[in-house]
Amino acid sequence: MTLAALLVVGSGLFVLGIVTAVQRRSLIGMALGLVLSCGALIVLASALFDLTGDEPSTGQVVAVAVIAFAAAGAVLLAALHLAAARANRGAEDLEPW
Amino acid sequence: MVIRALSLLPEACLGVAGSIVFAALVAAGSRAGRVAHRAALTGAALAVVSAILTLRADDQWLFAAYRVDLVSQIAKAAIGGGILMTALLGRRAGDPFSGARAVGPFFRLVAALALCVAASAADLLALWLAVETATAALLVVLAAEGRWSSVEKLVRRLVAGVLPSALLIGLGVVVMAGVAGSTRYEDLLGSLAIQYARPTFLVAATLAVWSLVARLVFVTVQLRAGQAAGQAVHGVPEISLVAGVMAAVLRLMALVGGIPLPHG
Repeated sequence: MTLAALLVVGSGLFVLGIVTAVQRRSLIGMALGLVLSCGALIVLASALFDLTGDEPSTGQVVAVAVIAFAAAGAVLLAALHLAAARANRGAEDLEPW
Repeated sequence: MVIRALSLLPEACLGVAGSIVFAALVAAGSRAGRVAHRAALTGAALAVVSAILTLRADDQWLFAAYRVDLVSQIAKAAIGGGILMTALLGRRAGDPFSGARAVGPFFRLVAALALCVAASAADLLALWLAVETATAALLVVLAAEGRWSSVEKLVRRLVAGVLPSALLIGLGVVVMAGVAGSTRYEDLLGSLAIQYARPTFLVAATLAVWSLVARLVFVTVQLRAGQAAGQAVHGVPEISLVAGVMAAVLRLMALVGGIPLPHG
């Protein structure tokens, strides 16, 4: 029952994150979608590994890897945003990232 | 042990070259760019030679999470070749390598190393992280080279396409590993007899494989489109990307289909 509930919550969060990442045209919106989906992946990994009783530590390793991926993605997006802002400083037709 | 470790020479060459380029990047002196360029060129050439010399290697590392065989060594030779060609073409074009221009060679080497890991990965988690690292490094190469205004649209399109595909690959990996109970290919193969009938495993495996293929096609098409539009994307090692991801896809498809890959 707990596993099923967590799987439903994880799947819902993941779909929400993907839709946010695809629909938003701004960098912040995409980053939000990315982080939301990464949270969903952590929920799914923890639920599948911990509650099925197979190697629960693997679920934690997956969770740490997903967190590292999310952090790296956020840093990359921030760096690209700064590069765009620096290059387009003063431009009238600057689109928000 | 030493002879066995020789099978990791291509990765070692790229890693050492990457470290030298990083040191040059930090030093940022007047000769930093030249040193970085030479180190990248030498590292890539040595990686190609060592990959060809170790074609017959057949080893496992990190508790069978890292596999060195014929498929991985061919992919590594192609990856090194792509980086080598990029370095040679950049030199022919007469790029003025200043200290800041070491950013490109460094991230190209990072991408090459990550693609080598992807080609040899026998663990789903290692594969996912390696592919994402390579893609992120290539994005940085693209953004760091040429004028920002000429590559901005391309970088935006790539970010918009790469992010969702990264999450889909991640979902496929997490569900496949969760259903099978392990992230190792060997364990997955062992549990296929039981799990194969389960639609969840097949759906997750298909999602992971097709997301990887879609990523490969998307990035390649976008880079081609960028080149056609005259954007400064000449420095992006497409050959390396294709070789690394194709080796990873081949390994995954062999796992799902139960086909044994050729050894050295």
